[in-house]
Amino acid sequence: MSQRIAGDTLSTVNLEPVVVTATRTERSLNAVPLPITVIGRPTLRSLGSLRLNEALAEQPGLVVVPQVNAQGNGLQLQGFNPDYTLILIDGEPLIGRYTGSLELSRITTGNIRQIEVVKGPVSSLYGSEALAGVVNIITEEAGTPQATVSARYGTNSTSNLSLQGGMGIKNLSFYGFADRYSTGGYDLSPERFGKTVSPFTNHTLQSKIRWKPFERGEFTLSGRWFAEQQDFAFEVKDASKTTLTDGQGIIKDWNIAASFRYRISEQTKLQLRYYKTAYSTKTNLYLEPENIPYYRDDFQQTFSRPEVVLNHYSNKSLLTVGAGAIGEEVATSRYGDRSNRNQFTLYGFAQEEWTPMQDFTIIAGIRLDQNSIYGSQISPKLSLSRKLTEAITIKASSGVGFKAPDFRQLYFNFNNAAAGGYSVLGSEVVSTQLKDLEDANRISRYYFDPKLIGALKAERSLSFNAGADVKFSKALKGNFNFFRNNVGNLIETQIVASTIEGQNIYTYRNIRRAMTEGLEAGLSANIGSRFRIQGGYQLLFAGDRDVMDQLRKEKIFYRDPETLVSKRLMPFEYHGLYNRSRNHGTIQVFFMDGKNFESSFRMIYRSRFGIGDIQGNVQGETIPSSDVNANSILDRYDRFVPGYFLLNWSASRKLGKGFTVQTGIDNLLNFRNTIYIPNIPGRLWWISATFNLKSNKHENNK
Amino acid sequence: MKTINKMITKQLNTGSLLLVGLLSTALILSGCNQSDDPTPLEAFLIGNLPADPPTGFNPTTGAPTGTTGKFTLFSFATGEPVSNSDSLTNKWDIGFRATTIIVNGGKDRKGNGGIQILTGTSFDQVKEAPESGYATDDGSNLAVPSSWYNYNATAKIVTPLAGNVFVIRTGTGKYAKMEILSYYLDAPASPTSANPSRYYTFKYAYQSSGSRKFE
Repeated sequence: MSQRIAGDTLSTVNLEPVVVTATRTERSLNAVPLPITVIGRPTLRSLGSLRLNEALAEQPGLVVVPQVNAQGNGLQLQGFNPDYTLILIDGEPLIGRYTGSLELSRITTGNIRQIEVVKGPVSSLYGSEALAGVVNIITEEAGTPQATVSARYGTNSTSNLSLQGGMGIKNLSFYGFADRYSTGGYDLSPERFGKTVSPFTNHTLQSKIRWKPFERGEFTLSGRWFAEQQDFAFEVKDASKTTLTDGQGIIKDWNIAASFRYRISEQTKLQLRYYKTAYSTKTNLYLEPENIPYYRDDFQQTFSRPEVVLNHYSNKSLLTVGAGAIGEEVATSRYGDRSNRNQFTLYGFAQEEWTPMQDFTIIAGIRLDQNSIYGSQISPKLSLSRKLTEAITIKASSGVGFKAPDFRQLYFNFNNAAAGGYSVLGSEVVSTQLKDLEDANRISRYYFDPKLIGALKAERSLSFNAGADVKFSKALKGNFNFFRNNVGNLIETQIVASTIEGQNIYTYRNIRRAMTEGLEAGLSANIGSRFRIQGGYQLLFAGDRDVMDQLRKEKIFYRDPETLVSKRLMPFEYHGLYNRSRNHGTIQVFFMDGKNFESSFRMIYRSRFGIGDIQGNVQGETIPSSDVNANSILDRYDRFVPGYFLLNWSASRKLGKGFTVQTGIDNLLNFRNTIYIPNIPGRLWWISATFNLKSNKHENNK
Repeated sequence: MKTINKMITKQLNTGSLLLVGLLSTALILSGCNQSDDPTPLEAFLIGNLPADPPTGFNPTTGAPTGTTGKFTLFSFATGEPVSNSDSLTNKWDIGFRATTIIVNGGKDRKGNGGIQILTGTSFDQVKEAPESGYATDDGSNLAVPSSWYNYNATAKIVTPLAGNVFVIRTGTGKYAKMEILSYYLDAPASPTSANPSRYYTFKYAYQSSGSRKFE
């Protein structure tokens, strides 16, 4: 068992990591016919990442982007917005997509054993949200005898203290983890009131118990608890005035997972699981200096799921079948009242992994979801891999992914009186709300026939991935993968009507079609026994397919903002969707002296990109849109956010038995872009000390 | 455009009307390069036509204040605004109030007007007004849909879309074509929500002969 994560060590022994996310069973990485990025404990330690966003941002093709309100960190995968990637902890979904994407900094890396990122849809196993891919965070196992204390301090008064320990007594195993993270935030425009990121403190607790009362069966119980408190100070600015506000935001989430595994026979295994999780956030802002309540927001979500999975092994095949039920509930002030909104899903899936001959694997899977709101979804997937020679393995896969309409798109009832006065109504409430307004004679005109607003359908994609792993020599390995995703039924806001006061009313509809395509490539070379160099690159084209059709029909123009002359836009002049960079890449150099000293030097590059209307205000600054030539699409004559390089460095030294000190500088070049990339702080220096009471066995694996 | 902006400002300062004059000769000449082509009609540029701009903002809600609710009516024949007292005549062709555009034709109007938006084309490409397809204002159902502009809800910016050309049947049944260039005072290249809005800058050509041809 201890070998399974050893593949990521810096030593030259290349044991392939074992991954579980792609097939729901443990598989060697090179045997899985899907593009997967694996970040193991040794790499996490070498990067010195404290939070999940820091670890993911150092991987090629994984772009960490600010969320809708220009705050926070979400994951862009194969050109998809953060809303379309499912995030799992130990195979169970993380919830709390308040504004669509999940805040990655909620997750500490302190208890992570391995991060697996599967690219391409995996809805055939995981259902909704697994449209762009899946990130599975695998935490430490119960039972490994260890005790670790780690402390760190750095720029912005950022401190982290983390404790973990595990032990096993006969058939009982334990693991416990506690983590406190605190930061003073940072301020990219100090001349303005408040900070870019306000100070916050969070705590994470996790525990696992495993009980193996008899040879064939085992029970596990695990729980996680997270709480964060942030102290806000904002400058809220619009055309007429500037308002100073301050207040507090609180985020809490917890989950509990119980499972029972039983080996029915040599060939058949049964797994019963139950998972329940809850997320809540609450924000209160006050006008300063009078301390008058100004803004209040709250959101609560729960998710529970029982599931049963059966594995049947035979000579050349592994059959996995499963079924489950999901209940979800949301209550928030933004849905007009705080009453609960529910939805319920029943699902079943089957996957056959067939190895007709050595070196050839076919995996066929299908999942059926039946939901109380969006109806049924069928998500098939087919993938295969073929080892052509000892050096070359080719892989190809195709699948359907989907994302269910979220609660916001269904039940939003939000009137933004301050910002120009507009309302957004979810698809399930818009008809009755419009009728009420009409009965009160408050509708001045309709822009869209409300009868045509139907129930929202799930957003769907059809995807293809094809590539190869190539071993050029013992020391030089590479891989590449072409991808193409065709996405339909994308949900967008649609203006429906305006009131006699001139306020526009919007709702959500399945409007757009889009595509993303590109190439991912990686190369890893060991130079001597002390250096390893890794490079990764992603080329990406992401476009609105309706816009592309219009361009081919010569129907799109642009107006030069200086001369006001309109000209036709050629298809090749279209840059594509906002917030996508054509090129993204990383180069990492790792050094170890074989005994006590390790160091790494890493570079991240992201090429220029455009900003659309999805960004909010940062510290009261207005964010100009990239589209400056009046066609509401991004083309080569628009104003781009320039590309940038980030350089990170770290070094560690073992001082004594189990005692290690590490130091590092993130963003050595002190790159900053106050308005467009507020989630990148300036240069950060840090130092940490770790004490391992009993050295972790698998980390010493050579 | 810098010179045009200056001219706009100058016209405003003198408090007089808004006709700025001929577009740059380069624009017109570019249409005349091929000798076979008939000469296009003269294009005129109107800058900073106010469309019920607010005088201030409510300090609590941020809502605009001091608006009159009245449309600014405009005649293509004269190239000048028309008094609101003439709203029930055929003297005006088109009216502007914030992003709402009305036309002098339909149930509640006295004119013979109508309007349609040609999309995916350019001002110079529209050489003839279509024979049919003109919409009129009928009660709250206005002829001009909101799709003539793009609204960036976060930046709160109204952008008249390039490639949209309005073809107008005027109050007296003549034809004009129009391209709206800006919704902001002095037509800034990158307007922000801090720029005063509800000021139209547009380009138009008017065929006084009654023909549908813009040449």
